[in-house]
Amino acid sequence: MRIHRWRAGLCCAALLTLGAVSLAGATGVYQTPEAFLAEVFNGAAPAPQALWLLPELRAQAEQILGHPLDRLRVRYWGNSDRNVWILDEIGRDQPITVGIVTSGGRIEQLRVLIFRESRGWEVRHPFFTDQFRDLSLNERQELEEPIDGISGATLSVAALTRLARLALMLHGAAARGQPVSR
Amino acid sequence: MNLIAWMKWHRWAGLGVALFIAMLCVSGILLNHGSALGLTRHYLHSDWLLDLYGIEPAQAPVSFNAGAHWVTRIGDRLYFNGRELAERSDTLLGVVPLQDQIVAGLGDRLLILAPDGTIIEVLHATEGVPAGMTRIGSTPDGSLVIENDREYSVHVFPSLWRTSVSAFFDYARNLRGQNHQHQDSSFIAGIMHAFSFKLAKSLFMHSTATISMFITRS
Repeated sequence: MRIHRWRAGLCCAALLTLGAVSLAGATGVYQTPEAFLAEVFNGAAPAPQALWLLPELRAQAEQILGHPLDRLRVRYWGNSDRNVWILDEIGRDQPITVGIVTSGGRIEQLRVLIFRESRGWEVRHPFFTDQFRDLSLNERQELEEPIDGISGATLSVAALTRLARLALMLHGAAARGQPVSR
Repeated sequence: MNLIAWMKWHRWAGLGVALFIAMLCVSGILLNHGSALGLTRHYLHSDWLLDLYGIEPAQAPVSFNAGAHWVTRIGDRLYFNGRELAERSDTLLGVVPLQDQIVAGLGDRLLILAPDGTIIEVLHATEGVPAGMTRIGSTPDGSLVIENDREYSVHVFPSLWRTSVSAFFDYARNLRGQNHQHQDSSFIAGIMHAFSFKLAKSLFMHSTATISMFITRS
């Protein structure tokens, strides 16, 4: 009986250690935005451009995010047809920094670059982010396919979905020739 | 000890604990819905209440002026002319007016503000902001200067960053703002919650100990 208790205690300790280790490694910088840009553009990232958020665009951004976008212009890298957007959105308490590559009105790639929240870090895994690949917006400014959630990461999933929609909306605005500046 | 005496003890102990349980519930609800109830935006100004809970700012506020405007950092909160900004930072190195914009150096990034305090954008290393910023300033012709490791990078909108050896820089100076004590109301709810919890817990422990003592005696 004593041996069984000892074994059970050891198992609990191992599980707790595993949990602590996985939690400790959950938040942080997975890839710097500079490294992401270098990877997308094969080491030759172009100079950033700025997209001015005119009132109509701000209203659309607010509708997607559910809160006002707290800036007047957004930087992006690309040539209007293939662009990289590095955007922040709060999941629960802290902003999640996400790099999104949009091409021809569709998402080419979405990657979580910096995760600061204490929960919901599972959204960084490719099994989740790959769901956004090749998605575009429908006429209601929503993703054309639903995104499968992750239990325990609901707010992070929602934040990434909002950012994906925002990036596609901004991509459309840049492609339409909204005022941009260097 | 007979059953009636037991019930008496139980009643008084229950009443005592109920008081703190009620306090725990109310303060817990206030904590949970602090943002929705606007408690996090409602600041305490009462000196005696702040002193009672020992609330002091973690660091002295840091203030810089840019013409008629001023930017202040208290903790990680940033204020433009007294109005809180959406951006947060635990570093504020300086603020300079630049053409029709106001630029604040936040250590690893630059906050570009319109004269009405609207955030125009936030520039990071990806936009060419030099790393290791220690001070920001401006040249007489209105260019932005960033100091890092004894090098000076001058930014002339809309051109790119370049290194300069010019010494005609006017660096932003900290105005050393007054020591304001601010704490949102949810903090007090948190203190009350913890206080009630501790009291309720200790009361429960004492009641249990007393009851055990009586059981042992009888």
